[in-house]
Amino acid sequence: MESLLSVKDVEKVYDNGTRALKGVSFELKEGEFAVIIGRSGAGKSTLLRCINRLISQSRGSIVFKGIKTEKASKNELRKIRREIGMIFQHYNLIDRLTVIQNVLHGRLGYMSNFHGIFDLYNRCDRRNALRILERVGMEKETLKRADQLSGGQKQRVGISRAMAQNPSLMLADEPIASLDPVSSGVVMDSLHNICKEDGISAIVSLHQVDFAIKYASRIIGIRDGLIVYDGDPKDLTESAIKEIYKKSPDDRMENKDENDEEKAIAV
Amino acid sequence: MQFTYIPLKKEKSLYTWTGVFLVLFTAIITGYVTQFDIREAVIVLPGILDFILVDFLPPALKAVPDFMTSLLDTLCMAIISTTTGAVISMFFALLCATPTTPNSIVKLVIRGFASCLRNIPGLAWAIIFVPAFGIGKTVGLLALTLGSLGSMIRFFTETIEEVDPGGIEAVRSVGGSYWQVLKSGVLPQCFPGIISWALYNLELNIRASTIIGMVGGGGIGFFIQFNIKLFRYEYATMAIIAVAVLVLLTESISKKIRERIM
Ligand SMILES: Nc1ncnc2c1ncn2[C@@H]1O[C@H](COP(=O)(O)OP(=O)(O)O)[C@@H](O)[C@H]1O
Ligand SMILES: [Mg+2]
Repeated sequence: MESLLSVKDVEKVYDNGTRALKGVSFELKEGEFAVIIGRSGAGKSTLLRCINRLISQSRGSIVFKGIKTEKASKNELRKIRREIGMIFQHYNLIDRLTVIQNVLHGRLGYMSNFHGIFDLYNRCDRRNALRILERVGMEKETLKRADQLSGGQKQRVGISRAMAQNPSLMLADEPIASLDPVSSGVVMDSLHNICKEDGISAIVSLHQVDFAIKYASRIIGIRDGLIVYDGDPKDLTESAIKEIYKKSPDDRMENKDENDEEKAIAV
Repeated sequence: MQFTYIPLKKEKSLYTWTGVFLVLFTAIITGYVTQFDIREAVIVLPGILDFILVDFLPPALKAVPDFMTSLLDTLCMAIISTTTGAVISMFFALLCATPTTPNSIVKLVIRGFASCLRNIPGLAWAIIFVPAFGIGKTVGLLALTLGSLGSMIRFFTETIEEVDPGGIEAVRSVGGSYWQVLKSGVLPQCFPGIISWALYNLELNIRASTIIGMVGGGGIGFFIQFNIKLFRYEYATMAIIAVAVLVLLTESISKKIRERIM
């Protein structure tokens, strides 16, 4: 199988000098469900954001479907992004709009400025949006405002919006970090099933190692901007987990990270 | 419990007395500096009361038909200037709010421009424009519009900057263009804030248009000024009451609208 996404030697230095990624490389094949684990601050969000160029890497190259994203023009970038769904920890829905309006936003990348600005979604898009909501069990909430939903429901709308893009790659940045265990299960089941059924590849960053092992077909462990584990969930030993979550010597925010470690070790 | 209660009360009365002392002290000092004699005020007070009670009262009901068109003019001036001002301000605010600005130079230039505008009140614009356009509604409209721009640009900019960046990021991530991000990510989020500031500005403009009318901007302000000059104080009183009613009405309507659009 050819690789859908190839990340080569990617480095990211933020404007304030933080080196969030220090040379990350991996290839993602079609159909993989990769889970990224690592302490908070390890660079998971940075990596995911570089992939769809919400931020741009400082060095290295990211190739999606044979196109170098860093060389893409504005228009090409829209075409790349519309094929990459993204799900966020804080859902990032537009609170004042309805569920269906939020889901339809997933179509914007395929629409002209004019059609987008006047909400002229075609019939096929509208029908599809409704079908997706049914698949995640949200059809009853179609006309509710997004701010009236529970966290788990919001995230299922987030998944629906990404699905409306008809993506070939799904990025999820800690999709269940703000949810209780039950909703977490529901959301991860939805996400996992949909990706499996539609053959969508996924890169999901997670906080909980137990969830990672349950859903992942591949686990990537990041520590301090470097990949320290990349392989099958079966091979993820206790010591490998310790290695991924090990405190770095120059870690200044000790208190902040204490909790993460506890969460992670409690497999 | 009593333990903590008693000292607290003592502290409170200490604050009160310090406050009273400070106010009196400042009053005496400033009175001394400006040579304002409180006794004089007390002496003329009955005269002022007499003037108000006898000359301004009772309000002349028969003036109502005379100023209805002027009152309507005032309302229209306030509405038109607010709407025009809001549209122009929105344009500038989008150009200079951090999430939507095309670049940081444009942002700085517009911020500077807006803060200059903010320091020139509508009244000043009216006084500047009267010689150019003559007394009338044109002056009122221009003065009110220019007078609202500065603060509306600022309020709108702040509203846009308070928008949740997550929503913007989401629309960017699906491949939305700049205009689509504006329309689908930014506008729905800042809509209630923008409308609410515009309504507030409308209330301000109704009040301001009365004063601007007095220096030559037309409308009910001009009517009031005109009648005071002719010593028809009861007419002026009636008009002032009408303005107060108009302001109250606008306030309650805009409050309703605000609640509806949250
Ligand atoms: N916008 C930013 N500006 C500067 N530093 C940042 C920014 N975003 C993240 N960082 C830093 O980059 C590092 C990696 O952050 P992040 O990718 O968010 O980690 P994770 O998602 O694994 O918790 C952290 O040290 C973080 O403080
Ligand atoms: Mg993160």
